[in-house]
Amino acid sequence: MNQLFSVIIQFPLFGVLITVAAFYLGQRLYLKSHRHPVLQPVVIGMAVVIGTVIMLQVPYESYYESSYLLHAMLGPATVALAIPLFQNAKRIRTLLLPIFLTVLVGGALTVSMAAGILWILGANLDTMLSMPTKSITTPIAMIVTEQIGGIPALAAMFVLLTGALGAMIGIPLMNRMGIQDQGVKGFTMGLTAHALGTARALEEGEECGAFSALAMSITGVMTALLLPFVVAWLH
Amino acid sequence: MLVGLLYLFLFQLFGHATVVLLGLPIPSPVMGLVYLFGFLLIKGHIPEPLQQVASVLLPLLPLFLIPASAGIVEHGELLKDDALAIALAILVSLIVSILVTPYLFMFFARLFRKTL
Repeated sequence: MNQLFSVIIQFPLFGVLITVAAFYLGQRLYLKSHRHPVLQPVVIGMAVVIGTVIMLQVPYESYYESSYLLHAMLGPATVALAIPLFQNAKRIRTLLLPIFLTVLVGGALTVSMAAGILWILGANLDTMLSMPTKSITTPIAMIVTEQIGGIPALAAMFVLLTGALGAMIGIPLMNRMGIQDQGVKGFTMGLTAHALGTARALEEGEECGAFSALAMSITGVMTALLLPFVVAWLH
Repeated sequence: MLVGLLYLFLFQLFGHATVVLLGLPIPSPVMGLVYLFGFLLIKGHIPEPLQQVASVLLPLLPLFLIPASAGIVEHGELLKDDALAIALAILVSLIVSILVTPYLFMFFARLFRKTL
């Protein structure tokens, strides 16, 4: 029995196996929950993986090594994000300059505010370095956080919290503010709450969803291109 | 599908070469994304192999995030330490950006005389 157990956890693809299984489970539960924003497949998958790893007493390091195959695909998949970006950019081409400027100013605002609050409350440096990517799409957030010396796992968590919260409060809040334009609403959702905000924006309609997807991609790419320079300069 | 994958690997390699040779602090996949985007702009349409690979790979993106995300198990102490600061930073900055972004966008749109 003990031998079988050690054979299983030393299987070179052990990490890949449990991750795919956990993600599959996550997808099933997500669809069953009628796509509840908090029950994202990645959240359930992560929870199942963590539970399994702790139960089997496998150190995180060895899980990570044996699931590296999946982690390595993050790079090419991130490159592929250029494809939806191109599709969305084409249709909203005329507004590119205002979109660009809003992402720049709005993004800088939210990042510096979050950093300011952490600094005032005396948070750890690791936390501060993992926060600036909170409103961009998870894959870009994680690789940028790695680049600037934060903790990618922490960044992923902040991204999920921001997205879930933004998806919940964004549209009702803007309705209260009397914002009626679907494009403006969608744009705000994408800039502040990335993919989860975009999923919510799509429920409002096609135009709202398209603006959100565009804002999400541009915010992600601009953050990735500018943030490392800002952090290097602050160092 | 295979050709599509080759496109992605090659663009990531171009990105990697750029950031390493120029010593830029930008992650190489993001540089690869920028190159691929530029390539698509020049082409004016999405080549079939890329269309295919995107439809397979992008829905799997969350799966690729799990190995690194699960690393959160190692940072329980940090989360406990900073819980309040994290909650406040996320909540306040999110609400303020939802309040400000719509007006910012409408302002810049009007500045360039684009109608929304």
